[in-house]
Amino acid sequence: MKGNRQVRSAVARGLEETHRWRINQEESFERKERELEQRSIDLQKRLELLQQELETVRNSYDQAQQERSTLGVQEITRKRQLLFSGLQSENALLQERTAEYNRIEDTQNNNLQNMLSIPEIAKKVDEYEAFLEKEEALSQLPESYRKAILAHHDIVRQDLDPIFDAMNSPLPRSELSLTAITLPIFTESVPGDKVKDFVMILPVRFERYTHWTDGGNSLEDLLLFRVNGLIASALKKLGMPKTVIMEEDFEGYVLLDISIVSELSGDLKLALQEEVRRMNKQASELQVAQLLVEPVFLGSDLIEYDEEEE
Amino acid sequence: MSTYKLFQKFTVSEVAKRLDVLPGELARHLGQGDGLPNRLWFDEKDIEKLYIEMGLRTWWPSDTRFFVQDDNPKRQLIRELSHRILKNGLVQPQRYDNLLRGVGGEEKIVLRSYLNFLLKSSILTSQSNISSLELQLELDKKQVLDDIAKGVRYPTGLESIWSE
Repeated sequence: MKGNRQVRSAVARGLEETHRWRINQEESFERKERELEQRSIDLQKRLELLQQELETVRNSYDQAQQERSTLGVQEITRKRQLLFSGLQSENALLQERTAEYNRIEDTQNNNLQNMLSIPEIAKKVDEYEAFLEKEEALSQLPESYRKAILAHHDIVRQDLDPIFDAMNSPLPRSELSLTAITLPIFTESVPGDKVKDFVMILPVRFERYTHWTDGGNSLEDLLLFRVNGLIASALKKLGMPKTVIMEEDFEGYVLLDISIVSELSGDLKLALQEEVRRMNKQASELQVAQLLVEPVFLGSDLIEYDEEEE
Repeated sequence: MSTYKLFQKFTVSEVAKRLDVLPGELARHLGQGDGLPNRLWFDEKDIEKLYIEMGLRTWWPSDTRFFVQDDNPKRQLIRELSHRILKNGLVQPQRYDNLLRGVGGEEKIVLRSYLNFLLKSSILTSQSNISSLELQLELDKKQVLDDIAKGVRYPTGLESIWSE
């Protein structure tokens, strides 16, 4: 029997092997299940993190959209700030350059006065002025006598040419750097892109409009004068010679409000640009003070304040 | 600037003061006419030319003589202006400031109040020009002005101007 104990039937061996297989399998599945459980836990954690990230992304998206929706208002605010600070700095520039302009003008006047204080010249000027006052009465004189007087005064007039030349010669330009100042033009359009009204704001203190009789020859005064002239010229060329131009106080600066009262026969923007170009080319005081005016066209919403915004 | 007439030049504000117009009105007139000069200074001849071109009139020259006599100075002014409107005939539009040119101070305030009264009462009508406001007399209201000028009858509310 002892020797027979090692002898196992194939079935018994098979059953035993099946049992071991089962145990192995169980162990194998146990490991697999633990692995899968761990993976599941890991994935769950990752999912939670991803969900948190998704939530963060969604919030950021909403915030970006919200911020983007305020860009229009922000743009208007920035532009208004720029325009207002521009008015302040450009007004300061105009006042600064007025001193320079007056200095150059005074130099020319002093030169003229110096020439006129020379006795020989003063005598000729007196003589010529007296002649001009009596010029009309000359027609009563005999022709030969009249011709002799006219010939004499032609010579006197020619002697005065240097004085007239000194007076009429263009003023020299300042050595300061050439600087541009803004002329913001706000247009209000109606359907069909036709301009209904337009408004200009100048870096000129409103008090220069109300108190123009005090002083009156600063670059602020002259710029206001020039801009009034260019508006009138542009409107006439566009077939609208009659309109109302109202001066208003905009934060202490001059605002010109122009109503379009009839059909324009051309492009308003082009006409105004052309007039500004002409002004830059011809205005003596701008050239002397080394200033250029640059028109900038903007929508009228920039100067229309809602009560809530205020 | 020179004291010699030959070399005398005037600035924009000096010209505006001489003409008794606003500088802006002067600029707009020039803008629609010959254009603004390169250098903004003017001589005596320019001023005379502008006075004519702009249709300026001085209704109250320094040597003005009153046609109307009244013991109340403000009422006298009002009646005198009514007389002048009828005499000068505002049947054609004329600049608002023409009717005030030559007077100043308190007198100007009284006349301005009176003109505003005439506009509100539709006795005068106004229309805007680029360089001025123009007034015109309504033809069917001549009698009202004639009554005021003669001191016969005054529209309701007018007395407040001279009794202030």
